[in-house]
Amino acid sequence: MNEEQSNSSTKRLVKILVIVGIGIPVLVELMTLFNLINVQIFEDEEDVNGQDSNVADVRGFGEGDTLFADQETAVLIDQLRVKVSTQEWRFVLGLTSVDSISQDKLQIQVDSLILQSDKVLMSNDSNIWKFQQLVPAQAYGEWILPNGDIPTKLFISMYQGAAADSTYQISQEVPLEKIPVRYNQE
Amino acid sequence: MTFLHKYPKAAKVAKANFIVAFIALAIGGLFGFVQALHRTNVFRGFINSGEYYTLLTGHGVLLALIFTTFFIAGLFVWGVTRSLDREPENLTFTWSWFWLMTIGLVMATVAILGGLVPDSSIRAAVLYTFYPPLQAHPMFYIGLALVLIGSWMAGADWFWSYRKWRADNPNERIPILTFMTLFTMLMWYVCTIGLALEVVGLLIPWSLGWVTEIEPLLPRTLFWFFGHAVVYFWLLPAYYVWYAILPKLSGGRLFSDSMTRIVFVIFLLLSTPVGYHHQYADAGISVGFKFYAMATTLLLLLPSLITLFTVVASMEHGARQRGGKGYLKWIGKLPWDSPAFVGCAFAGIMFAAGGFSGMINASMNINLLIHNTIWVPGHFHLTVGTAVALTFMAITYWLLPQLTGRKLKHKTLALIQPYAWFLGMTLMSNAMHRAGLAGVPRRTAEPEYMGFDFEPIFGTMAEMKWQIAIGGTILTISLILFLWVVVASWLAGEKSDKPVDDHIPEPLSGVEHTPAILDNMKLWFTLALVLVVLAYAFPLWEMVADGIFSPGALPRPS
Repeated sequence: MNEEQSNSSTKRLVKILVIVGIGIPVLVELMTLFNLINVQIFEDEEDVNGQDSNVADVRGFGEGDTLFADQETAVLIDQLRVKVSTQEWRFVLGLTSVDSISQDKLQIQVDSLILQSDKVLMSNDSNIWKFQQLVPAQAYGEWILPNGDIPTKLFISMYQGAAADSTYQISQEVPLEKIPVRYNQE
Repeated sequence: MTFLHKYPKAAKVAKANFIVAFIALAIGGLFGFVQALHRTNVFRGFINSGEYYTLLTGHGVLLALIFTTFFIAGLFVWGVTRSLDREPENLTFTWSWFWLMTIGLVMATVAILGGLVPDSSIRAAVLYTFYPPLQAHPMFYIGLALVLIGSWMAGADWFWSYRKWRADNPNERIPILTFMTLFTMLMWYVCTIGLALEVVGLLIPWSLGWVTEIEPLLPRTLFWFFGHAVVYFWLLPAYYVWYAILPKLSGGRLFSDSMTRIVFVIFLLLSTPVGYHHQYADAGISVGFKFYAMATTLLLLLPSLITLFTVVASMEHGARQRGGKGYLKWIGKLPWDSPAFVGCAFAGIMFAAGGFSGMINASMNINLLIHNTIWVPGHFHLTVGTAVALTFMAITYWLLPQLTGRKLKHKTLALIQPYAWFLGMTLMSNAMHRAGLAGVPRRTAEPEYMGFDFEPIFGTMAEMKWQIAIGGTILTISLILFLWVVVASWLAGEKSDKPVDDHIPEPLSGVEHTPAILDNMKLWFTLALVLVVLAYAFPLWEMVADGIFSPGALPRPS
């Protein structure tokens, strides 16, 4: 009797396992097949999921892009990286002037960084760069980030000498593209 | 009387190999679970994205190289001993290769885990493929070299037993279990030439600082000389189980001895000259050689289809012995309540699915659609992660009682385990394949780009990520069930003289119908070497003609 009961409960278990363990996989694969055929034969690719080709329009700034492009002293982003070691995330920003600097008093300052986690990193003195009359003029800054976090936006200001005893300031909000994360083995 | 009582020395060796294999499986599986949650952004609290690569390396090396190699060693010790009816010839030699492999494994693992220790100079976040520019601590490469040498010695051990047996049985055909073991090891000797040259000739000197520049294409090419054939080194032992044991578990007999031998001969011939299909996107290798690799890769479909036919025919025979009738109704008569059978059967089904995506990987033109995308891990989780791993887990339910003399415990959990694996892997692999078609990259903790959205062919990226995470979680539960059943049975299973029915019946079409030439190892081994020379001699010569280390390039970005 016990053996019969055991056989019967095993049969019931096998039925459940077959329904769940084989039924769901078969369903998933059939749905995949159906959707693939449906998309290829009956839908235009652009209509899929309502996506369109304007996605690239919201592209952020990355390495090689120019800041203050409409100003006399445009600045090129020549390094925009997150360098990762096992215990530390560092954001590295490198800027290079595009043309020779004509003003003595050109100063660029990163005011703040907005991170993926919505945290804000404020600037400090080391992130104020005074460009000299060098070609190309270069400046680099580093920030220690919370582990796993990546900057998504930075606010940057440029102070430029104008007439005697006066400067003018231009601020720019710079949305960043996905920054490459480089694993540093050192 | 079971295996333990007839061959206690071999049983001890096989058990030792299984212990190491299952520890590697547990650690590697845990790493896989963490990766699945991290990469999909479902939970990132275990590690940061820098440590991800340490875990990725651990997952690949511990599962693909260590779990497989040790399990295969245990399986082959069981098979050779049983089929030749003799214990290992010299236990000192046998334990030497086991301990050499174990020391190598520990060195490689310590180097990998060092990456999780703050400020450690010992690390090896170089992924499973470990070629430059990523560099590991020398301990990692030396450890792998020891595992490799140990595996060569293990093969020599089985050939030693075979020679002794042959001296006593000059007119007998090679027993099928030993035949499959020896041909697998012949293939292993051919393909590991590339690995040995790469690790000993290039990577160890480079990691020790003896050389600073490396021809970047050379180590990649030498790795892939070995890197695809190693897939067959994992897969052939699964075939070994499907041919030799699965028919018995189905209630029947192997359909054809000669088909079995032909398949193993073809794999010996064609496993190694296919490596370039991993390098379709590499500059520096003539397209003609890539085409040659594509042709040989697609030719490998032949033994896989022969296997499909032979194994299914054997299973059908078993089902009909159990009262099965009709064209398809016999399937219902198969023992779907036996965890060993269910696991092997599901592994075979998954392998067929992996074969379909493998055809796309192998084809030069459409490979570029999915090259270096998450499609590729989706593919090899079907082949290695299921066809091989699930077969090994399932057959453990049948082998373990023979090796321990104890009955299996928790049979219900053991039965649930392969069904859970099948479900989890379907969910995970299906989503990986679909994400790969959308261009999602592999080998990265940060697979998304800002200002750019992947365009899935259908569904959404979020839905695919969740499918991967849920699939990975179900796989982890299945793995825990497996380990629980194994540990409980090993330690507390009921002792018995006959804990499992271990009789393997003779094939329906036996060795008397098999051409003798199939047993000619010298012939097939020589032909295999000729095919490898045709594939690799000229390209390798081009790479080394101006010096092994020149024209060199700094092996990592300066």
